Amino acid sequence: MTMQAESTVAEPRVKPVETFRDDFTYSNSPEAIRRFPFPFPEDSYMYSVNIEPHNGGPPGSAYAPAFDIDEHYLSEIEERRKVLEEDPSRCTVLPHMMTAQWDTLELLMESLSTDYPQHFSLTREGDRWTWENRLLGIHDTFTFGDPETLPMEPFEYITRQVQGDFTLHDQRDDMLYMDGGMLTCQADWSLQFDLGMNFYEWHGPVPRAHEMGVFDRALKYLLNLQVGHPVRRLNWTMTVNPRMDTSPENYHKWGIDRATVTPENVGDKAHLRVELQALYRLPRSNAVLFSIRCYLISVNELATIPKWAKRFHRVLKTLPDDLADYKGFIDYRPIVVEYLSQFDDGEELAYGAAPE
Amino acid sequence: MSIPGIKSKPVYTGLTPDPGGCQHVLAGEGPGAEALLRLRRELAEGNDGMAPEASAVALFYTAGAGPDQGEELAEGGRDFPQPWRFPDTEGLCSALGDYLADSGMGVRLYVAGSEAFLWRVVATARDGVGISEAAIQMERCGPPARPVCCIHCKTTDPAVSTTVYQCPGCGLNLFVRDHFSRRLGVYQGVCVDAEAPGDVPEPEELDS
Ligand code: HEM
Repeated sequence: MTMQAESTVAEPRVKPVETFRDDFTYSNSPEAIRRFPFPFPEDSYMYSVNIEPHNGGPPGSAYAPAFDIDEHYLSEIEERRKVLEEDPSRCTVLPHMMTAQWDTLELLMESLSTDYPQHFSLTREGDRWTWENRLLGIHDTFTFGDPETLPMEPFEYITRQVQGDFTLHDQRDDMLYMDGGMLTCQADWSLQFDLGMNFYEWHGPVPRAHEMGVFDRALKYLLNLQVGHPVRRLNWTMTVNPRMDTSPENYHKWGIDRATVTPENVGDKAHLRVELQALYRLPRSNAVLFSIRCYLISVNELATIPKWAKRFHRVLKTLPDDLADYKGFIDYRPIVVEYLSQFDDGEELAYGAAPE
Repeated sequence: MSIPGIKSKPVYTGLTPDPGGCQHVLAGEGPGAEALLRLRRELAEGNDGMAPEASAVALFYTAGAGPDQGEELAEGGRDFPQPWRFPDTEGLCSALGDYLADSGMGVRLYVAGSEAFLWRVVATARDGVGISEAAIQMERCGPPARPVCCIHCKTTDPAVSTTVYQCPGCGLNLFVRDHFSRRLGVYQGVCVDAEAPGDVPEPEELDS
């Protein structure tokens, strides 16, 4: 592997396929743990308009590339394939979003081939584009703008090759609409159900944030998003077992996991789930692309970073009940808090989410 | 357990004549007849003498689950054309769709009936004909039963009257969320005992 001096993104050593279901073989290497996008700079957490420019980050961090590719690439691509095989409607785009589909394909291909030239390349001769994805052994030539020249619609084609979920948003009359998406690793919300909703409607179930004015301000911000100036934010919850597909569609199958957390297994079973969300204005369609890159880390993995164990302990302990209830871990929270308390000596922690 | 004030839950207001409309199409089901009678009276009186031509008002009605108030509608509006009456919602929507497709700009649609009926008619007008939701008013009439779609098997029960009900498709016991999809015209039903199988709370009447 060639190291480029100016490269600021990770040189991911991609692992063979691990599983996010059944035997759950997924785990994080020490390097993956250190670059985990830990979301808590302070000892407590509350909703806020936590939006900042998505303009890179420390070399090797999850924030450095436009779209982060890491050691779990093959595993997440395979998990997505399985979910789509069981339920093709997890990828749905409304018909008026075809231009936005091509915008998405272009943005993802350009970003990946720029950030990871060792894995992806894009060659253009006019409308004739050749895309190479060496991690998956894909080498396709197609005509940009002509869906007939791809094996499937452009949005599905490219998002099957990128980690994380994606949603597509039309902007009309100063409002954003959920007019498409690829959703196979979501934190308990349904694309099929939310499709076509506006920004306030799809955020309907969230407690407090409407009353706090968070969504009014966030929407105003997003309506003015400019091409070439993406923004990002972090969101988080907890998940039992490293399960990517915590969809409401399958909740009757995975909900039971929440009843299996015990003081003995909590360190391995309970996971912090962080979404690195980025928002892009798309140039031709004026649509907004929302990327939801999901990271899972077990409590034991997280506890290998002493500052994070202390911080997470304090955040969880003080999180208001309505948020813990909405996020779905209020019942097993006491077990996690009790377990984490062994790592927390009460030391005062400096502001910031970095590992040290 | 229901999350208060979910923002996607529709708020229904009463029907009032829209002076901006030049064609007024009324669609009703069962007890919705009363709302349509009231509206038709208001249309006849007009706002500031701006009553629409009798021929600019059309009325579509089905008894649905009842009561059948078609006779009252037929009697109540001498100057307006007779209502078209249908044995069921499907027949009504099929005729309504054809009628709306021939209507011009400035058409206003007023719908009164059960919540399932309201959204079935909206789908006909909005998705079938391209009429914007801004040109459609709705009044919910009759008992507060909801159309609910099982998120697991996708079966819709058009008239769910309790939260916690058994899905007619997959048999799971579902909790009825206030989260509502205007595209699908349904609330979301989610397995209530996924985390404690068999621990199914007593059904509670839905009151809105
Ligand atoms: C187009 C962009 C966005 C999309 C597609 C999106 C989508 C969603 C969805 C689907 C949910 C889950 C709602 C449910 O329970 O059903 C959610 C939750 C939430 N969203 Fe957004 N969102 C977007 C932008 C934002 C922004 C800019 C903010 C900024 C403050 C924000 C704040 C939140 C919060 C606080 C929650 C609750 C999360 C939790 O407690 O776990 N969202 N969002």
